[in-house]
Amino acid sequence: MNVEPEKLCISCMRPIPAGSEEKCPLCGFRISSYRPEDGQLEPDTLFESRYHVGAAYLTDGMFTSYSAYDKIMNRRVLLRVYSDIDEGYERFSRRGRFLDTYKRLAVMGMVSFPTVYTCRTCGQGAYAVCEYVSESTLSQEIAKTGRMDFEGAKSLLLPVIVTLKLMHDERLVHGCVCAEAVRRKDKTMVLCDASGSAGDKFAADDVKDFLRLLVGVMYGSRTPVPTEFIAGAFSKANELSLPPDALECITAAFDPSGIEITSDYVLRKLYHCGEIALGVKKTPPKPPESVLSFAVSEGVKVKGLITSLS
Amino acid sequence: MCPENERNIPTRKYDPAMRFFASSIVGTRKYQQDSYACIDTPEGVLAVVCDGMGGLEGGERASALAVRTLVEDYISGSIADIRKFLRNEVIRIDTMVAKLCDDNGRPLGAGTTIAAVYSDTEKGTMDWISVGDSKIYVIRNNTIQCIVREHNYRMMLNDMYMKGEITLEQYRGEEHKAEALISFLGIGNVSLMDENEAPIKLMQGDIVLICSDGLYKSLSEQMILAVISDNYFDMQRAADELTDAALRYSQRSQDNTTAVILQYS
Repeated sequence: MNVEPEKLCISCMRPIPAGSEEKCPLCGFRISSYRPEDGQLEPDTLFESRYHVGAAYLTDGMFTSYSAYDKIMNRRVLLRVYSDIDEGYERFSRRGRFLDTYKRLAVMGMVSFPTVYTCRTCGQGAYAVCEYVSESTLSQEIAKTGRMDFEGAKSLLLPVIVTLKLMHDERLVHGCVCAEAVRRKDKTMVLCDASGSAGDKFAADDVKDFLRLLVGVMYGSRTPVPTEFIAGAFSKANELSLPPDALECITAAFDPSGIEITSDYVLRKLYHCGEIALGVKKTPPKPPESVLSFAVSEGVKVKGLITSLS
Repeated sequence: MCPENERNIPTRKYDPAMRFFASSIVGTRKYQQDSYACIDTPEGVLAVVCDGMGGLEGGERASALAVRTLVEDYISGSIADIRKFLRNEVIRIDTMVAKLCDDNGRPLGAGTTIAAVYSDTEKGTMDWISVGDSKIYVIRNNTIQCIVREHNYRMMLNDMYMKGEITLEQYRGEEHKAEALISFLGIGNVSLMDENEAPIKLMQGDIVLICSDGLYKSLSEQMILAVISDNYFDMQRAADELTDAALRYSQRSQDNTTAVILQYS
């Protein structure tokens, strides 16, 4: 008997009942009106013989993020695909930087970044697969809440700047800080969809993007606030009644003749925190003394030992 | 080419290495009855996983005894023939586990499985032995192959059915007992064991996974392969991810789960 494969919503990647191909009854996504842009993967294609591709939700130059479903591990995932159409040699170094960013993010295992499951090359491009967080993006939150005061916006975006600080400490660049890349995970917002320095961006660009996002949240704007606006009348009149420290920080970041503002500086100025609690790092358990001393007594050189024995 | 120049070409000695990683979880059980060890000595790497069984602390003691005995005998013995050593160890530990007693001197009735791998890093070879239903997988070129059998009643039933000794109805009637082990350490006169006939030649990039049944009863081989290949650059992460995934995908309660990964590079 042929069993029809389950149809998935291309946004939330959950099975939808037959007859609801127009609009997902679970997340409300209008499936029938979705059209991928040029160069994007078609929804419902099987990427790398494993990932059922959904709708693209974020495009940033050569990077596109999709909702997807891992058919082997049976779980929803976020798929970030880097496809470089550039014929030059530079594409290889960009791909390398993208993969390096994700490999190191995987090892860092930050709570404020989705778990990185894997990253691989794919033809001349590459892709990274991360934990599915939720459908709810910061963009949607802004649409719901409208304007927000400084304290509210600041606290909402704390995990984002913490992530940036941790990444920058490791000399990694996020490269795509925007409202679509910030998603709700449980009670907090987390930053997803890194491009790495493959997007030819620098840590200072991340900081500026973060501050644009912060100002955008206060204005209730889903689109990035232009640099000229922040550097211009807004900061002079302090329309948002920012505390002096915050105003100074934001103004300085967008001042072309000013110093380069770092994520660390933003944290200290805006959040008044100098140190970030990184959590307890896993330390490998010590090998049991009994086995080691036994080896020594037998004159055997043990080069390595891991065991559950106490 | 000028011989002088040839001599000046720097040469780099290739040092093969076997790195090992492990992750073990209690699952939803009260006791951790899995034990494992990986030891690297100048001769090679020995890795072992034991899954104990028996009430209260019996299983825990049995598996720990098996691992400790094997490791200590490996350290103290001068081993000429590794296969013979592993076989003798299995017989010796079987007797020791069978003699385990509680505080009142009553037999514990505990047992343990064993899956052990020895790798001669310099020769790039691998020997192994297994009793019970812990498994050894070899992952090569993105394919996964289990090299041992599960020594349970199902194996016996399959064998009898294939030989025509039982009918399908009889097979089905017995299937509820299929998971019961027919060979383990502590049985007293262990004879059913899987071992290699000749050392397996390892290839650079090969991964050897030794695990208790908690892992493969929750995850399909395809899933295990996916986790390992996804985390190829960080095998400790792969080991952790395997045990996490086993817990996440378990249908009901999750047994103790141990994954030991050997990476030959």
